[in-house]
Amino acid sequence: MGDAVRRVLLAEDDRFLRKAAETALKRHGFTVVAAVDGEEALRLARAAPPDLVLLDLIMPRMQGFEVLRALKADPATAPIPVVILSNLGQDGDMKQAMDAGAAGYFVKANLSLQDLVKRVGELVAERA
Amino acid sequence: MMEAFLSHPIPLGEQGFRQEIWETRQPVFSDDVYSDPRFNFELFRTFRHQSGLVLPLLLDDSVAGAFYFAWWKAKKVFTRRELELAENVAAQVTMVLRHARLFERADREWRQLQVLFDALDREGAREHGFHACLGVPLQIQGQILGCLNVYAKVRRKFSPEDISLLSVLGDQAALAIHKAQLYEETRAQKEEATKLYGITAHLATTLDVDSVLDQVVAKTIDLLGCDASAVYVHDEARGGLVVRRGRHLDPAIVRDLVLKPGEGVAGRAYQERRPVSTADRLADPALRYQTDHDRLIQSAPRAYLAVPVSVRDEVLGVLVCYYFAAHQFSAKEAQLLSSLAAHAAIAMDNARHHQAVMLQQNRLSQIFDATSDGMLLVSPAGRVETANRRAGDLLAIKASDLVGNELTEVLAWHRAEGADYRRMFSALRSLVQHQEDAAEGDLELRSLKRILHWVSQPTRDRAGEHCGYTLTFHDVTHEREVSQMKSDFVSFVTHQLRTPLAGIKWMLELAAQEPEVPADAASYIGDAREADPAPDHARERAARHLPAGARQAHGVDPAGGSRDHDPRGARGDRRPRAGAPASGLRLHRGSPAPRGARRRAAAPPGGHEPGLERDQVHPGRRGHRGPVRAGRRHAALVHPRQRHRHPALFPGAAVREVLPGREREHARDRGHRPRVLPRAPDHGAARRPRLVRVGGGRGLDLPLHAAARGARRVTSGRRVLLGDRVAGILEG
Repeated sequence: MGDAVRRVLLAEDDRFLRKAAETALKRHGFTVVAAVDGEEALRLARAAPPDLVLLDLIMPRMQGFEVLRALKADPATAPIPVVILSNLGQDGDMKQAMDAGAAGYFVKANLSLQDLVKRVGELVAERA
Repeated sequence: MMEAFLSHPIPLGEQGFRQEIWETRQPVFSDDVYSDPRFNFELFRTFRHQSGLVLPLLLDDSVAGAFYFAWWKAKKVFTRRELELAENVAAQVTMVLRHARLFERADREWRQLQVLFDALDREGAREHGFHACLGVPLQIQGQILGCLNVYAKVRRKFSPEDISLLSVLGDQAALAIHKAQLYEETRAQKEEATKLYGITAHLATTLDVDSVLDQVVAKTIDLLGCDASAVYVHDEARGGLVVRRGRHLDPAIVRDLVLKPGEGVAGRAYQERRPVSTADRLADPALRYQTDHDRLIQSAPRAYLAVPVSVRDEVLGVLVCYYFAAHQFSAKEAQLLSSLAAHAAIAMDNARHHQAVMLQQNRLSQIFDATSDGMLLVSPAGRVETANRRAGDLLAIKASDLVGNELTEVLAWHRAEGADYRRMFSALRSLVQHQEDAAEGDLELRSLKRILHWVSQPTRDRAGEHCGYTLTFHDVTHEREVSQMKSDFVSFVTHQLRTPLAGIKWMLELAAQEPEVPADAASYIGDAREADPAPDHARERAARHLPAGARQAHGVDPAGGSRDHDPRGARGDRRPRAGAPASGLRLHRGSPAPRGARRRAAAPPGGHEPGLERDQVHPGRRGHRGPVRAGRRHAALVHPRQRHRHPALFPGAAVREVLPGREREHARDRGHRPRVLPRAPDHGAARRPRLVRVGGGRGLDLPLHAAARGARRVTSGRRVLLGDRVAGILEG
């Protein structure tokens, strides 16, 4: 982990998952900004671009794919790596996300918090 | 008897022993004439007899005829003496023949001299004051054409020089006359050839058999100068030969006459397959007609010449020319009529083949248009040659408008965007370039919201040469929609199952990291984290009930095996053509990839790397890594009896299963649920059958299937029942 504090935007509508991921990331030194729906995630990302976005796909008010496309369409937020964190695991979903510009795709059910933190750290370090 | 013999002349040119006589000039003998193929002609069939001897009549070192001896009943055996006697008789006959010929020659020359004598016309010359006359014959190739005379009004004698000079002039005149005759013959032949060519040209321009036959009968009258003509064909329904086309005949004959084979001149020509004629039917006793034809025959012409209309040894009918008065037919007329009959045969044969082809084409066309699949026949250059109605329906283009267009243009009309068009074009170009291979794929017509499954098969001609390909389209829109709906449903259910379980899992992971957790609680947490959440189990059950398409969409092999095996490879009839992205036109790769080729290095724990295939999704379950090669999907499909082969998937499994897997499945299908028999009656017996205690003495009640899949320590050893069968033993 680098010296600079890294800022992660976590867009997750499920309260337990959001809390668990936020806690794990904070324990490892990340600054976590949480959003409970797509619109909020987009607003927060535009207001203060994070170093990385962890984005759920199925969320109220605005779906994750819409958020992803909006982020990549905006020159201010386009460089931010967006990692999909979803329980949708079909090839089509993954391909759609990668085509839209996602930097990674994690299936939550198959991922431990430890692994999540590790991968987020790697991606943030790569960007730095 | 003799009259009957004389009315049946032996056609030597058609007899079996003809060649033998002409070549060897030796007698031909048979003691069984009726069954001897050398004697197979009408005379011997009419006057049946037992033995026969044919002797050649040799005149001036050539065979001038034959002398025939017949024995009605005796199987004759000749002695040398008898044979010499017969040959002497034949020699006498030959002498008679020689004398007859000499007499005939003398008579001809006498008549020629008479002509010369008459030409001198001495009385006429005297009346004009001529006293001297010299005449020379106009002769060429031994034939007298006329004579050339010179006269003088004074009495004189002609010198040998005068005679010689006039002879030369006569020869010149004869030659000029002969040339004029040859020219006239040539002109007539040219006229015949022109008329025959007219028929031939007409044959090439029409397949209407009646039109050609009308030409034939008209030209017959024109060329032969006869009074009427007709073409007869065999009519199965009316049981004989009927007039197909006729000219200048009594309409009653054309309409009502039905000749049996062998009846009349036409019937004989049809039956005997040779030209038959009669100079005058009223004086021809050999002609026979049915009595009910008498009325019709009364109005018939008198002289007939009939030739068979045949092609490839099959007689299709008869061409007849008629004269209303008696007429002696020449060999030239028979030859000319045969030429016309050959034209009629070609016309009828062509028409017959054309009708057969049209019938076949009509049937194929009806099948082609009635099939539920769209079909395109495409040329090697990629141009649509034929399209059926269904193809037009599926592509939303009139079938007739498809024909003549490039296939790529046709499909490009439906392109949704440039990228799709390029992909589609690329795939089709590959199809055109490798059209000798079979291929198949899906074609998504976005403008029509339709998905067509297409199959391409090369088309070959009779010589086996590639001559294009056939594209078959089948509308699979509904099938694909249903499959997608099922896939989406399962995806949604899986998502809803995974989300709370992932939350519990992550919360337990956080709890396990707390430093102040009591040992018991830490143990509970550890056990709970090691217990596999339900999705795999749910997937396994879903896999058993989902259709193949949905199973594939969720990473479960429809055949129940590894996805590394491509089931299409077993068909062996689809070879790889080209690859294309998922949208637009997709080409399947027919050859299965080598086993293991699709396996890649394991993805990051729990993660899914971009571009990797589903097979590479790592199970992400603690303790299940390492030996697991093909991912979680395989774990979900491992048969219970095969679990010993996958120890890492079932660490510390405490259930020893004794009921075979198939029976266990049947028991579950019948509604039985696992239940555990208590070791001994106790207070919790009513509740325990559905739960087992794991985790050592501190114990944690879990459903039986969860314990069976993941428990390390089982506190009690008891029998597990499925229905009335023992499914396993819980070993403490």
